[in-house]
Amino acid sequence: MTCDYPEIEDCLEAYADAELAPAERRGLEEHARGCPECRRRLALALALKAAVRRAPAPAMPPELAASLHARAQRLSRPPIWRVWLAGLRARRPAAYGLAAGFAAAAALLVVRLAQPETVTLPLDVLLAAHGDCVRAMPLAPEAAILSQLPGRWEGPR
Amino acid sequence: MRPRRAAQLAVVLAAALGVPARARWRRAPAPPDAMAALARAAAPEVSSYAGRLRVEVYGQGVSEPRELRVRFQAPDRYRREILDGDGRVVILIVSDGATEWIYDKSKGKVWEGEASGTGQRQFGSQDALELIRANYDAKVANGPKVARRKTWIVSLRSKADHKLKRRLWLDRKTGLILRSEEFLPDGSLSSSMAFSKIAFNRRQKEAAFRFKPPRGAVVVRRLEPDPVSLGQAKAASGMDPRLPAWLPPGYVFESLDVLPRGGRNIIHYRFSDGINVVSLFQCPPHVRLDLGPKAGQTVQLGSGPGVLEWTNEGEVLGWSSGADKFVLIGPIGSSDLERIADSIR
Repeated sequence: MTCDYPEIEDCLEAYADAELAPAERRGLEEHARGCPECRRRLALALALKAAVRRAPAPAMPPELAASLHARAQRLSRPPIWRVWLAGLRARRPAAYGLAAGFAAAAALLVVRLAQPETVTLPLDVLLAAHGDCVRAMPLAPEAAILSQLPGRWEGPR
Repeated sequence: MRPRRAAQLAVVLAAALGVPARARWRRAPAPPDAMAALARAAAPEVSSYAGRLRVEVYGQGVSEPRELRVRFQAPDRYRREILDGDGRVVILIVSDGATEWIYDKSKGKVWEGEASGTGQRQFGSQDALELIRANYDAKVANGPKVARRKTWIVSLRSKADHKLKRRLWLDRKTGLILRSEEFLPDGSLSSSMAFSKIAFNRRQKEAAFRFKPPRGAVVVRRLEPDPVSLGQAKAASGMDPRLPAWLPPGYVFESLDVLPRGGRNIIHYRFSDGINVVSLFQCPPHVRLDLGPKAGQTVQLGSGPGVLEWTNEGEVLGWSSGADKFVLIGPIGSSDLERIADSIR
């Protein structure tokens, strides 16, 4: 005989696990009083639940236990590099300073590489530009020609 | 023999030889007005000339002479050959009026650029002469011959410190400067120039003002700064233009341009008193100034330490102020350079 109670299978399991809402539990119990099939299946679900609770827990395989234990140990330990730095700081402060210095220098190098390149400006280039102005003056002395001497001119822009 | 007796004898002899009376007594002509003479020197009346001259630059008690052969063809073509001790050309400078080439034989290199003086200044001759009139006492006198040419000597003495700054020997016929002397603020000679030979108005060969780079020579294009306004200089350089609040007496702002260098733009301000030029360079961050191998003198400025050096072009002062770097160049004393530097905010 089949029951037309909606979603009876899910309700029976949920009832056994005490997961039904109070109104749903009362509705199912009222239905079970009038439905021998559902009353029987409900009793079966409860009996099965009790039997599982009473059964002894199986023993964990030793390898699994050891693996889990080792993993737990690793997760609770600090990173090796932190352990090394702490040891270094305690035993060799100078070496620790050196390591910190290298790290700082590396960071600075990264920053510098990101900056625009420094351009060198020789004085001769400025003297050539100044000499141009001197030669352009109406009474410019011929001696100003000497500031034109090569070595003071730059190439293309 | 007494001068009076000698003069009497000369008259008698002249009469005996039939020399006209008027020619017996030649008085030296009166010198022209000083500013008129300078105006002629700024625009001499020559169509062409060829000659040889000697230039000397004096630095710390040592003179560095150079011989040059020069040719000129109006309005603006010239050829200058700088010679070595054996009379061979070591450096050649040629201009056809539009383009100037500088060829260094020892380096096998040619620098090509705009003809010298084109677009380099905002001062015309008249502006410069007005400044000279305001800043200098100019005196003219009869001068000795230079390269067998009669001259006027024009002396320019600063009104500010009454020191002689320039002396010019001008050709009486053309106004061309045949000899010149330039003086430092302390009165010592900075440089001098004198023609030893000169011939005027002989047609020069056109080929003398043309230049073709020799085979194998490396040709580079010279940097050409662009004359700009303050706003344009700011936009081009990324810097706020910083002008000095103080200048030596007689100096005024002449012009500025932007000098490109390695992707950076440097502002070049020029100041002049009509004769001399003071240059101020303002350099943006990430520009390292290389003031040469000579160790300069450290001076203390308001913004911090500066470096002072002497060059043939005058004293050079370099310093940093904020993120910008500055260089001053000019034939003025170090104290004036420092005062200019301290006035820049």
